[in-house]
Amino acid sequence: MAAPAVEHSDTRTKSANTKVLGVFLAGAAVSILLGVYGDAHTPTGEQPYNLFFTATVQLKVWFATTAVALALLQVLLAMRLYGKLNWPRTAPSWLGDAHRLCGTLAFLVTLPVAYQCLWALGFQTTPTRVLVHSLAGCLFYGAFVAKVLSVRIHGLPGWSLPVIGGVVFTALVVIFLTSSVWFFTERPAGLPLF
Amino acid sequence: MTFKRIVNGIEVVAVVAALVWVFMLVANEPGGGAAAHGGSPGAAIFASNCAKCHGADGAGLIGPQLAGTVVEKYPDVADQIAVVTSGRKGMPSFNGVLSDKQIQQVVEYTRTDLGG
Repeated sequence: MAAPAVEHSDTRTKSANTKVLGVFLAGAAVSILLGVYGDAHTPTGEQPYNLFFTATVQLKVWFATTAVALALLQVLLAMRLYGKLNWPRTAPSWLGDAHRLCGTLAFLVTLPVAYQCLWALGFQTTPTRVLVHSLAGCLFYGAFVAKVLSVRIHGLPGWSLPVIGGVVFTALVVIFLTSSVWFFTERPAGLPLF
Repeated sequence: MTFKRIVNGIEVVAVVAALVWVFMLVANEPGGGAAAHGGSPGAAIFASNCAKCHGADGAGLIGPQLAGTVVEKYPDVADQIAVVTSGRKGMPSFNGVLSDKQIQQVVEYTRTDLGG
């Protein structure tokens, strides 16, 4: 009597592993494609937009900062959703939607930043800060695609969503540290903050 | 329910924005390559190596403005070549990245075609 149950469990594990592999491959493909584009594309060095900022670099710095703030809020909301935080004591019904909203808005504000990075600057390998920034940028979008897929696809192992979400957040923080924080602390003299 | 609808709507906007983003990257691909930025070897080297930080027209991005300033800043061309070769502060060294001849060509480009 126990054999069919074991077999069923094995099949489910295999299916979950296949799905995780598919999600991983989709994310990896996006990261690699962005890296290849950034490397093959001829950087224009232009500033396509700056809204109300002095220049595009200031726009990028503050948009990236906004993205990190939203992502941080999203992580806090996720922690409350999964019971890792106990405040507020009763979780409001809109918490899940607020979590999704923060992630979506964070993603949206990264788009103009990444566009200028890829189109005007491309994938750069020197100095080390810029190499790490380029790699984290490619990783971020790949991991983001993997996260969206892992939310939509059912039957994945329980560890996959927090791990992929952690990679997305980590990549974004690395991007922030190697761009906005660098700009705030080490920007060339005379370059305005806003 | 209304909030959920708003969030769903913003997610749709995000998907559309992502598609437009990819389309713009491909559609705005410059066809001429580095040489299209001027024609001289210095122009091509500048477009590939310097424009990222100093702007396509040398007006400055993260790096300082070069157009119209370098001759005044470096009356002796050897000083400017030394900065490009060895780097300075946020400026990376191009020693080993560009040959001596290429450095000379790009420096010459910034001092003449770019407006000195």
